Amino acid sequence: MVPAPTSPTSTSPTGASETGASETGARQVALVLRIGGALGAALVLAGLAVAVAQGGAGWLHGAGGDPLGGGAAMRLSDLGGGLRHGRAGAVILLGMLVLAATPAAGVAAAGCAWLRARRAWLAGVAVIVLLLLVLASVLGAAE
Amino acid sequence: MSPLAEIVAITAVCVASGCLGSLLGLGGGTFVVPILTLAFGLDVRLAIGASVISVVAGSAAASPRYLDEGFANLRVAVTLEVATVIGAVAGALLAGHLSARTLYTVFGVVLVFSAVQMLRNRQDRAGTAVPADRIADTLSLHGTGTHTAAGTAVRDVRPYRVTRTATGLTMMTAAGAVSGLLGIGSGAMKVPAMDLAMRLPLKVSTATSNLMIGVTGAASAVVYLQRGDVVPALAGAVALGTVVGARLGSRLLAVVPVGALRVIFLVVLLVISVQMLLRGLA
Repeated sequence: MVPAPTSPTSTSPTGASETGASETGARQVALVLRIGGALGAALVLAGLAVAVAQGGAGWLHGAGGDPLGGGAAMRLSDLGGGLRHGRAGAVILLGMLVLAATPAAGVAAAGCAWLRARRAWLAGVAVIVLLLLVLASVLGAAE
Repeated sequence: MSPLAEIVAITAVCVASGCLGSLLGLGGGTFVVPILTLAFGLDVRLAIGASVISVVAGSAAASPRYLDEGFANLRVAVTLEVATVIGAVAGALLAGHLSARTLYTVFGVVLVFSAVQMLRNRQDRAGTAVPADRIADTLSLHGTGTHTAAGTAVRDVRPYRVTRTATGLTMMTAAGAVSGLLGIGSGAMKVPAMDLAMRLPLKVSTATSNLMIGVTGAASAVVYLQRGDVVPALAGAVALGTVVGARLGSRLLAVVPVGALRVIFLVVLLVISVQMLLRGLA
């Protein structure tokens, strides 16, 4: 058993403990999450506004119909075409893609910060998480 | 009801559910799927696809503050994300092959589990002696957390040691699978894994869970987005409503009698879980 530490310890690349507020990479990750979250939410809001302006016709690939039904569902592969045709659904989808990519960007930011701080093990773990997210995308596309 | 009115109604309801989820520490996603399916009669798969996007948005909105204040342990979060992402991808892929009735049943069971977690009297076990852990030592997962003495405004910083990382990783795989399967954050499973098994302070566990929920949700979201299980208008309205509600909830936390609210919503949670179970088993 390891006794509980009794006093705060300083930040150190090799030390056993790290103060949360000054944690390596925390500031960068927070910044990435703020920017990505705001950008994604803004795109979703813009898409919804465009849809309302289009009177709902832009919901379903430009064909109208029930905006909440299964027919209005979009795949990521529909994104490019939808944006080219100015579809509101595609703008919302882009916002959601930005939102989904934001946590991954946060992990990448943490990995870079750890690499700069010469914390190779942690940087390696971040790379594994990113590779798993890429794998998730590939497996989802293959469904 | 016209589609536009329905979307406005869904957004408003998601503001309320996000607010309550934030006040009760469950996250907005817990209520989203039952509301969309039971109240609005939407397809459970599309409801889950919308919920998973709101989970990512909610985490991105709340986590920066936890990181700034030093509550979230970034090293623990990224380490455990290896397990939650694997679980989430497996859960999201599995969800595409399960019947709606099975999804309702699993959701009902998970809601009962969440209600039990709400009832549990959480005690901060940090600061006690813990078994040595090689993974935690190698990755320098140990940290410090702030502690407020009862009845005072004095905050002091206390170091803690992380233990049983392998157990935490196993529990997180299960939490990730449930998250991917049902489109929820699974905070009710993640917090106990860190609090009980890995002995992180409760506040650190909650903040770290919130940070992890974003990455877990992103892994599932990518599968749902690629598979075409996301309706943009629905998911957009749900995400915006939940984020606004979660922010509102965090502001109301100081003035709302959360104890009384907890009892009321424990009952609501149990009623919803019975409804979901009935749909699944009927």
